[in-house]
Amino acid sequence: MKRRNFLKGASLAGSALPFIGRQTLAATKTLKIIHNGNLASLDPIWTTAPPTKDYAFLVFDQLLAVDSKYVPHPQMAEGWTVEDDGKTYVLGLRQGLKFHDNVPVRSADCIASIQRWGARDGFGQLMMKFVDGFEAIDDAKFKIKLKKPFPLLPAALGKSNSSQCFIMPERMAKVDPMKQVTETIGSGPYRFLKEEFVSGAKAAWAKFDGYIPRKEPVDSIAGGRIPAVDRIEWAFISDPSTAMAALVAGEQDYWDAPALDLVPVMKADPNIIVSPRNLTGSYYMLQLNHVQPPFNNPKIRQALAMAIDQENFLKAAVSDPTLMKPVYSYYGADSPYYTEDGADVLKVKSLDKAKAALKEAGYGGEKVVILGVMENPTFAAMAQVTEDLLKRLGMNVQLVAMDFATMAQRRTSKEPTDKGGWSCFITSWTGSDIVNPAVHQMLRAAGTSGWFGWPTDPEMESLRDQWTNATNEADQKKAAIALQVEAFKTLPYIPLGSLIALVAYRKNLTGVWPCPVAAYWNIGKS
Amino acid sequence: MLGYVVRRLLMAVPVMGVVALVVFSLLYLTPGDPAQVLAGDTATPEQIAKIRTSLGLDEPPVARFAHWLWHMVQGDLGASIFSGEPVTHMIGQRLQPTFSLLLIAVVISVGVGVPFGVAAAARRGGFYDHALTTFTTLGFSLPAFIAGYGLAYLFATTLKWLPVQGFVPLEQGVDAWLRNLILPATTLSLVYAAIIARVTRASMLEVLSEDYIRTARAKGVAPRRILFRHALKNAAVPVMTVIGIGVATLIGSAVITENVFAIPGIGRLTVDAILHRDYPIIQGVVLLLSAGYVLVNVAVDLCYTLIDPRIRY
Repeated sequence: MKRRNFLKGASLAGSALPFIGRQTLAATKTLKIIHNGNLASLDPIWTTAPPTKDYAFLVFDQLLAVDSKYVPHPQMAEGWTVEDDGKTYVLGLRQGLKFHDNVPVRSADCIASIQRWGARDGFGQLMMKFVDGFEAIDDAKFKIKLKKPFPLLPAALGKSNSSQCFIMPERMAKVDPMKQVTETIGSGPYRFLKEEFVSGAKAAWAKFDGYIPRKEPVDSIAGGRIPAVDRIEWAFISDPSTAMAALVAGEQDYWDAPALDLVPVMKADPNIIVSPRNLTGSYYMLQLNHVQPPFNNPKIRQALAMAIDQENFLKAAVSDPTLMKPVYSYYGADSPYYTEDGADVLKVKSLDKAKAALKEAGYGGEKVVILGVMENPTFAAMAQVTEDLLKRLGMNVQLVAMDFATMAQRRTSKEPTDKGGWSCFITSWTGSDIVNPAVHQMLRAAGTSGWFGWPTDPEMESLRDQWTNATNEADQKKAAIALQVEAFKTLPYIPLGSLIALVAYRKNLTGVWPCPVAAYWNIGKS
Repeated sequence: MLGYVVRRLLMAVPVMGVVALVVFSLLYLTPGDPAQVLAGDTATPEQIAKIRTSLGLDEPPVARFAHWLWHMVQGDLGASIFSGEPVTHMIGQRLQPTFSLLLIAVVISVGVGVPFGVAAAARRGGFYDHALTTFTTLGFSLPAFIAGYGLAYLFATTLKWLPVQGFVPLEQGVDAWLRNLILPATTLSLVYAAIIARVTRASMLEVLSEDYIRTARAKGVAPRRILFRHALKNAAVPVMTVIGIGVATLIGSAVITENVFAIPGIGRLTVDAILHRDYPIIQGVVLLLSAGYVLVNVAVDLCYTLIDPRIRY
């Protein structure tokens, strides 16, 4: 063969390779998603990182799942019965459920999964305090025996916030909850393609042909989870401009967290839909340090609350008034316990009255250190508004700019501000994270064993116990409202209002439904 | 020659040891706790402490360094704190995108910079010389993220000739691989090509004023032959030095370019690891890069002997 002919042949073969690849891909319906967060860990029980949760909703399934009103419904379960005066729950599994390795889902898998989840999740830990034991009746039915009635058990197993009770094969669920599982075998609608996974860059899933969705229509995370495309791909694009350009050019189909300043550009494109999806919203909070001056003084906390106008904080983050909502409550606006009872201090909104209250409280010029997470534009904007407000109040303020990892470490310090401590920081939780006292980690006042800030109020803890032990809805509501009224006296944190997050996607996507988590089943492509 | 190469590589060992120690110390002094980030907001202090213990983060720094060093000399760079994957595997996944980007960027830079510099020197004060001044000013002053957005807007979003972002491995086709790399490599090569063009011009002007060039001209040697055969070869040593230094600089600049064009390379891996305090990855990448710098410098030194026969090691 002559050299020239050889090169010609090699060149043709080279150009044919990508063509063959395209033919194969053309037959596959792929949903391409721009994901802002980095998927690092593949164990949703081990970490509460949002990308891991989003990954888990594709790979794993839940026994129960709550609807948009937080009412639990069977998901993998056929249903459940309550026996023995509320002290025994019997759960039966749907027929035909199997894991991605085609092994049937058994009661033993469910029991081990509940135990592992119950060792890590806050609501799970609360539930496990009531649990006396588990018993597998057969492979498709098992009992959860309780020491005393715990009517919140279905809500705990089906919850949508933070760490969910995902069902794994028993061998995975037996792994120490403090260590990561290494397998990615679930029984959810999509199989994870581990061989294609590049942490921080790319992740892919393929439709699980053995998945049997429920027949009910989807409602929040309850109802049918239908794998509507053959393949899902995530691209982790950290640069917002590049992400938008990729969506507009049709290289990607869906962007889970579009930058708000780019929204007008995307709205102007007839091929792009920009809309809210998580209707529960994100709730912003000013967390205060209760163990160090000046915010260890309850009167100074009250003075600060009187100065805060939530709209100033929300407007610093977004310009569209339809995306913001002042919330004068410790519960989310869609919570059954939402009320403004006790929230008068937040409605004062007067700098003069706050200054007078601060003087009366005996503020002595102690330094206030704000931990400002600058990689999050909303946190950064709200931290700057806080700095400005505190200065106008006449406080001695220092805003310390840092990344999240630094803040995550520094907020653990209980030391004074001149020894590496802190005074306040901005944080946020979703509406489903603050829907009731069981999941609301910040509505606690258990002192130094609690969440960062360490508020102490035995009355708040007692009211939370009353809510947990209440056996009917009326008593639960009464306790939940009393808890809020007490919280507005203690001010474990100061609510700053809520923002609605948007998603952006191409017009040819079908089945995008309102959902409190970034779930991608049911989304198809025309 | 072989002895020289071996000596240079052996000299790299203590250099990399110092790099490893410095990086480890800096990471130890940097605030931030991966166990906190991992555990999430709902974790209790006890849970965070257990995670810290399971990751070995509660061991004394000297023990941690010794442990890491011992495994490192055996070729084991440890595992990512977050994903649990071996660092060597994670770096391996990122090598092709970064090396592809660097390769194309070097080809563009040398392919543009050297001829441009030669042409400008050959007609000093002429059109090419003025054009080179404009080009290098632009190249030096345009930050990569501005140039990248501009190129993407023009060639990807508006003209739709090239993709906006992403990387396609070479195994999936040369054309797709190349199409995805043209814009980021061009962005990356702007500064590099400008430097090479400047140095080539300066070096060529110096050589062109030498007596032996004048002699060649007097003997009637063709101008093209004088330029490429006599002048360029003698002007090549400083150009080669700049190319070598530039490769090291390019690796640093690749962080921004990879981010703008969403290329899953070493740069993005490093940035993500720093943000999460994923110490084993940071240490692994820095070691790899320092080894890369050493190898590039050795390669440049060897290239000198090819260009200038008077240089011997």
